[in-house]
Amino acid sequence: MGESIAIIVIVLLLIVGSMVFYAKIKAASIGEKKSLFQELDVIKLSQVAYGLSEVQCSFAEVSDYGCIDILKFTYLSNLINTSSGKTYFYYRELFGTSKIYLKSINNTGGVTYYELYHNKRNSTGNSSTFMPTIIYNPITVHNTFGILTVVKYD
Amino acid sequence: MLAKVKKGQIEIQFNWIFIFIVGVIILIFFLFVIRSQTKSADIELAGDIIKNLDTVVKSAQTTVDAEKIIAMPNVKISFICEPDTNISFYDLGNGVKKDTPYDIIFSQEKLSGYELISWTQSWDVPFRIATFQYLTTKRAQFIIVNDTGTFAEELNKSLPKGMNKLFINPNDNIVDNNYDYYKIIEFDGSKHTGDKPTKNVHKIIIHINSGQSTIDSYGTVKFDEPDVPIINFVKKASLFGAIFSEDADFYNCTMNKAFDRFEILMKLQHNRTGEIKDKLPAEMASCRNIFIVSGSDMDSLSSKKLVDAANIFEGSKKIMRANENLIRGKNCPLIY
Repeated sequence: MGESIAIIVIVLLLIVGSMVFYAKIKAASIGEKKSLFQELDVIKLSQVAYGLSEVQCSFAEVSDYGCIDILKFTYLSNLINTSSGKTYFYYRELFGTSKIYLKSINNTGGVTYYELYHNKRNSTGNSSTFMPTIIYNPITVHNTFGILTVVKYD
Repeated sequence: MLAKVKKGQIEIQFNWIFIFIVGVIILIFFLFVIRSQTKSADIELAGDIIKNLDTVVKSAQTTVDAEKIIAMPNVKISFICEPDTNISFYDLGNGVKKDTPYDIIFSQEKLSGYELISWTQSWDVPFRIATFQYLTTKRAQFIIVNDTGTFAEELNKSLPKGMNKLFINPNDNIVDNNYDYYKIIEFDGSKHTGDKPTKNVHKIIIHINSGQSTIDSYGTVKFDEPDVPIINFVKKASLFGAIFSEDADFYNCTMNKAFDRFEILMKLQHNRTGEIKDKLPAEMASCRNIFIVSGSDMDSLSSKKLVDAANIFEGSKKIMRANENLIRGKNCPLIY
C-alpha cells in the first residue's frame, strides 16, 4: 500500500514537472508568434498607407505609385483630424493605433513635416517602416523627395 | 491464522481496486488534456491561417488589375457581409474570424480548395475611388452566355484567364463537373435554354443601359433569387462585383463600403480642386471656370448612392471631359 502511494506521488510529480516544462515552451513559442504578427501588422499598414487612393498622385486615370500629392495629403489630414463623425471612425478603424507622417526634404536639405494620423493610446512599444516617395505639388508643378513613415504601436 | 490470511487477501484486493481507480483517474486526466490540446491546436492553426491570409489578401489589394493565385491549406473560408448592419468578416470555422469593415471584397459565401484566385480592379468614377478585390477558386465555374451583341464577348475577354470560366451559346448544355459553385451570366434577351447542373447553380441577368456600347458604363443586375429587386451597377468594376458576389445582399453590402469611400474621395477632390482654383496664377485664369464647374459636380456627386447610378455615371463623364480639356493643352494643373 505504502509503495503504491509512493509510486503514485512520483508519477504525479513527473506529470506536473512535464506540464510546467511544456507550458514554458508554449509561452516562448507564443511570444515568437506575437512578434511575427506585430511585424505582419506593420507591413500591412504600410502597404495600406502607401497605396491610399486618397493621397496618391494621378495623371488622368493613371495612378502614380511612389508619389504623394501634397494637396490631397494635407486635405486628408484635415479631414481626419477635424471631423468627429463617420470619417474619423473610418480612418481610425483603418489605421488603428499608429502614426503616419510624411517628411519632405527640399533641395537645400530643409525638412517639412506633415502628419496624417496619430493615435497612440497606452502602448509600450512600436515598429516602424520608412518608405521613400516623391511629393508632388500640383500648384507649383514641383516634385520633392520625401519619406513616408508608418509607426505601428503595440 | 485464517483471519490473517483473509486480511491479507482483502488487502491485496483493496490494493488492486485502489490502483485501478487511480489509473482510471490518470487516464481520464490525460484524455482531457489531449482533447483540450487538440481543440486549441485547431484554433491556433486557424488563427495562423487567418493572419497570413489577411496579409496576403491585403498585399494583393495594393496592385490593380492583377490576378494572383494564393496557396492555402485545404480549409473552407466563409465570407459574410450583411447590408442591414454592415457587418462583414471571413472565418475558417472554430470561431476564428477576421473583420473586413473596409475591405471591398466580392466573393461567394464559401470558398474551399488549395488555391484562392484573387483579382483586383480599380473603380474609377472618374478617378480611382477604391480597389475592388474579387476572390474565387477553381472549384467555382463562371458560365457566360453569348448574347446577340458584343457585351458577352467583352465580358469574357475582361474576366481573368486564370479563373474557371466558360463561354457558351444560349442552347448549349452545361456539363456537371461536380464543382462547388456554378454562376450562369446572362445578358438581357439571351436566356440560357440548355441543360444545366441540378445543384449549386446561381444566375445573374445583366442589363446594360440603352445607348451604352460597353460594359464599362451603367445598368442593372438581377440575381436569381425570389423577391430580390433589380440592383444597379456603375462602371465595370461594380459589374464584376455583382458577378462574383454570392447574392444581392452581399453585393449591396460591399457596394455600401465602396460608396463610403466614394463620399470621402469626392469631398477630398472637391477641396483640392477649390484650392487649385484659388491659387491659379494669372496666366491660367482661363482654366478657373473648368475648376468651378467640376468642383460643383463633385460636390453634388458626393451624396449619391448606388440607386443614382445614371447620375453618377453622367456626372463622372462630365468631370472626365473637363479633365481631358485640361490635358489637351490648357497647360493648367489637372483636376485629377
